[in-house]
Amino acid sequence: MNISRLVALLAGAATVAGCGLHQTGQLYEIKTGRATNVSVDSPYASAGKVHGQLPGGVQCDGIFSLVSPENARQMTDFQVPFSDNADASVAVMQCASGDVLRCTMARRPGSGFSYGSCKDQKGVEYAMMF
Amino acid sequence: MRLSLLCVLGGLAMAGCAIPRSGYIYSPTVGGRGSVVFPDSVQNAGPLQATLSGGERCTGRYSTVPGPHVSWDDEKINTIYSEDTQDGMALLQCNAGHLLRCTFTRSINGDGIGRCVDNHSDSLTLYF
Repeated sequence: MNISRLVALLAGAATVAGCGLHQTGQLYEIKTGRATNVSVDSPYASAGKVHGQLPGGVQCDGIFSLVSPENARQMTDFQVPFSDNADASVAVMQCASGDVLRCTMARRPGSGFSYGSCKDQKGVEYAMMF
Repeated sequence: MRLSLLCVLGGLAMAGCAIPRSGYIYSPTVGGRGSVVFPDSVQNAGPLQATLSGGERCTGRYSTVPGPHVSWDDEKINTIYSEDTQDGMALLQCNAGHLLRCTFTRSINGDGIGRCVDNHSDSLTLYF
């Protein structure tokens, strides 16, 4: 049994059991280079929750949704490379400071997220690495 | 040929052998050439190190997703057999506050090309 199949089976079993998996990564503020944590609940699913923290410690929460790569390209203009053979998701996070982050994230089908980019309503850019 | 390469790379990966790949990072504004190293280029994600042309050292991570050219599994629906190309992103932290965001594409052999933009608005070119 190869690893990707095992991961898919484990993810399926966890979903059936009602215990969503959790993936953590880093959220980088491009301007300052400061990194904070970002996490995704149910990273293998077509939709789920996203939690992040801005460099000042402000908490952000939101959801991600799987969309077609074409739609993801139309919705955002971020520098996130993905082909039609990758899964693309769009996420929106609302922060306690009032900032709203709009993100595009890419992942390998049947796997957790690989990377992403975000921009808030003031144009401040962030990058995600999982 | 592709299968042979896959077998060799797969065998080395299964044997726990890291296959490093090094390359260059060019800075048109400074006019010099630095280096970049993927300590284990076979992996879909992992650490990355770079030294910029001015000697500044950077460390970070890269991650990939399937690129536009893949081979499909004939026996399973919608299952990728091999990723003949991969798209990727890398984030490199250098001296305090200096961050490079790179996007790249690479082949099944691990060789690739990319572009990095730092938070000083400098654009660099990546070859590996």
